[in-house]
Amino acid sequence: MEDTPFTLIEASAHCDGPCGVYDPASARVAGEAVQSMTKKMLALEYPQVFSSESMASYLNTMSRYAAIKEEEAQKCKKELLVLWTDFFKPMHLEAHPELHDTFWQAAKLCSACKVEVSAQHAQELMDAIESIHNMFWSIKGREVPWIRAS
Amino acid sequence: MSLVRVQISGDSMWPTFPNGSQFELIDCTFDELNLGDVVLAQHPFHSDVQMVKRIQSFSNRTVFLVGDNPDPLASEDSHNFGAINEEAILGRCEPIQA
Repeated sequence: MEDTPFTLIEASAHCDGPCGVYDPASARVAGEAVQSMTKKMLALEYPQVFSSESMASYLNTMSRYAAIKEEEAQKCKKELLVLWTDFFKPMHLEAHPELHDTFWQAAKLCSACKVEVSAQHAQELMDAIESIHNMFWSIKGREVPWIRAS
Repeated sequence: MSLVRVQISGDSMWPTFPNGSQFELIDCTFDELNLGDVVLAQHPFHSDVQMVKRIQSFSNRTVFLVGDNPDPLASEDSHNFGAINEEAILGRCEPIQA
């Protein structure tokens, strides 16, 4: 039987939609913005001259940092959830049994970074995104280095 | 009569048949097909795509095809493109034991 000549047909067994159009980079950029805003909030010094004008400027700057941190943390969580629920499939758990816990912790860190001004949690979020980056590209069979924009 | 083998590309038949699995294509009539058979079928929306799926149900000379992957996003099948006509079934796929 093995020696019998045969014609080989390539057939599709693919998923729905544009499978393959995913990249953890979008979560990484949002995560970096969260970390950057967190650092800026912690570094912002109270005005030395107390006046209506200086307080307005201080509060405006702090408010803008907080607003961006909030928005980017939410964006980061959304990007992570899309990766988790749409890209990763049950068979990927075989090679990465830590997959679900990593995403769960990363999503919780997004929430923590929203409600806190925590440099520690911002760094832990970036660490979790790096783990997801490594799992993602391992599954894609490509070596893509972890590079930060900031 | 020459043998025809089918090799799948993708994970929609995982875990039963992972990416790269091969089958022998068996020529058969529509009435010889059974529920649960794995078949090679013509994609209804893409003339250049043939696919391997499993028959979930029959209805009025049409078949509802599904993948084996339990993830609802892992298989483009009759959940997306609907039941297909009997003419689109190109044969039954018998797995080749590794």
